[in-house]
Amino acid sequence: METKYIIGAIIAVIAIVGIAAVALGGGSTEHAPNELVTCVAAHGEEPEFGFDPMHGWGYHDSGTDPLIQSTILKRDKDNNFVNDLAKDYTISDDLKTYTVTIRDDVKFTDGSKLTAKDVAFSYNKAKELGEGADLSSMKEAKADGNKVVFTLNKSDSTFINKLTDVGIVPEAGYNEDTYGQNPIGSGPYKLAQWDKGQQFILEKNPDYYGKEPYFEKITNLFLDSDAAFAAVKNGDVDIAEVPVAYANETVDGYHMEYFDSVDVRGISLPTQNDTGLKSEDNITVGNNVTGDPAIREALSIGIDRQKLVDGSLNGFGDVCTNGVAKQLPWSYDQGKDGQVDEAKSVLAAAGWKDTDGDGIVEKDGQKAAFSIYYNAKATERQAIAVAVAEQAKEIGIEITPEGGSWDDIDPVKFSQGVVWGFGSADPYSIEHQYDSRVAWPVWVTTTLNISTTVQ
Amino acid sequence: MAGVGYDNPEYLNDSAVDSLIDTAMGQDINASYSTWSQASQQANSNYPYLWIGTMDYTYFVSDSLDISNSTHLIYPHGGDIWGNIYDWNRINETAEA
Repeated sequence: METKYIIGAIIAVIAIVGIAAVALGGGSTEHAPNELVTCVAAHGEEPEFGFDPMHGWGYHDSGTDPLIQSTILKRDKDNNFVNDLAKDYTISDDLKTYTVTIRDDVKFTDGSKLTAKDVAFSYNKAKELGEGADLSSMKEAKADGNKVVFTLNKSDSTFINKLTDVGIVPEAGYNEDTYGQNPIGSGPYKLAQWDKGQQFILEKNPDYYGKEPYFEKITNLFLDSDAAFAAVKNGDVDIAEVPVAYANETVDGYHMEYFDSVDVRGISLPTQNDTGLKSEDNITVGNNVTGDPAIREALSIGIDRQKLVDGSLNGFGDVCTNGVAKQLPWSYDQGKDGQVDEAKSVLAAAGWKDTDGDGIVEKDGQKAAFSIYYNAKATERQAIAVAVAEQAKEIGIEITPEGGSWDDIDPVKFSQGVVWGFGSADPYSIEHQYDSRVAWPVWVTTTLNISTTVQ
Repeated sequence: MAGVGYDNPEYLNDSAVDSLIDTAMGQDINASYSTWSQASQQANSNYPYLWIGTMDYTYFVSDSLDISNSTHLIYPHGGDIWGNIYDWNRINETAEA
């Protein structure tokens, strides 16, 4: 514990020095009222390939706005689809053809006109690179005058969500290696500067066709959570995203604002026994403890989620027993929660008994023990894994929380528990979570290109 | 890279789920939501995940800044605080951030 605090303190000091350096470079931390200094990870971490929607910029599970680029549709505050570049659209009865008319008054920031050809190009390119939205159902996008016709390889009612997911780039001169450094788009802002590892600066696009924002300039700092909180205490930023662990702090001149999200935390539990099955990339599949449905059921009905939300999430969250956030149109009633006695009965009925008196149940010589892995960079995931392990003991299940990087988690993701984060406004997420055809080895090659954005 | 091949890591194999997914894909989007619900319920009858909860996104906001919290959009995984940037304002121009 002590080491962690010392590391935290060192990071904070480094961060303050870092901010001071940025501030000195800019003259002072004071800025004009119509300039904004932020420290938010709204679109994930600093994008490796820059601000290129073809490489996934602006797509971080359906529902984000790339700002520098426009999209065909957007969502409004009630989660309805509204036009952005689209003037109107039609969907064929068989849900295999989506036809969008593109507005004709939009210019890219280099002065060139945005056309249906640019839209078709962007979708075909995004599909080819496969780093953002899942466009696997799209056969091709083709311009036809001021229309773009999306031809799908199967009926896909969820494809309308994909029309919000890809920022549009100009076909002329597009280069997938360099565009992200100097993006040309048609959104409300344009990229003015990107100091890698430090910050990026956006400036208002004077030619933007939509509602004009008040802020002329946005400087967004890349700081880790300790440094972000230090920046708040120092009065250096207008707004900073902080982990829920900081959310009960008070700082003069600031107030806390918090938003419900559809971002759910859940722990995958291997449903198969370990029978020697390997995934195509030779990763062990299955676990002889979680492979027993009674173990999974006992955990699901026995763990007290409200206690977890109050503790691990500092009260900033909502219980969810089924992985579907209550704001989503496909949400449904919650299941059982915190029923320790019932959980114990489920285990006993399935033959799990504590025969050696250590508080942990066994069956056929197998102890009810497994590990839950979490991304060590996510403090709330660590807190969840540790608290679940503590509660599981009461039910008679021994869980070892293991922190690591995604590289550490990759080899065990099919054989141990893993803490995941999901939260898309697109119901296709259900397919990603549960469809057997995406998991089993024979299907693996067709699905591994789907997404690199889950964290 | 993070999460490559994260799909169905629990190796759920339930043909009733697969078939509900196919049905939902072929329905009008508004009609499909109840089918997606059923697919999720069918999947969760196998308890493939220990679901915990949704998390809030928490921000320290300068008292001089109005981020118009009545117009915020749905918060997906990763959040999107800038989704309503068009409505943000400086409310007290003399207050320095």
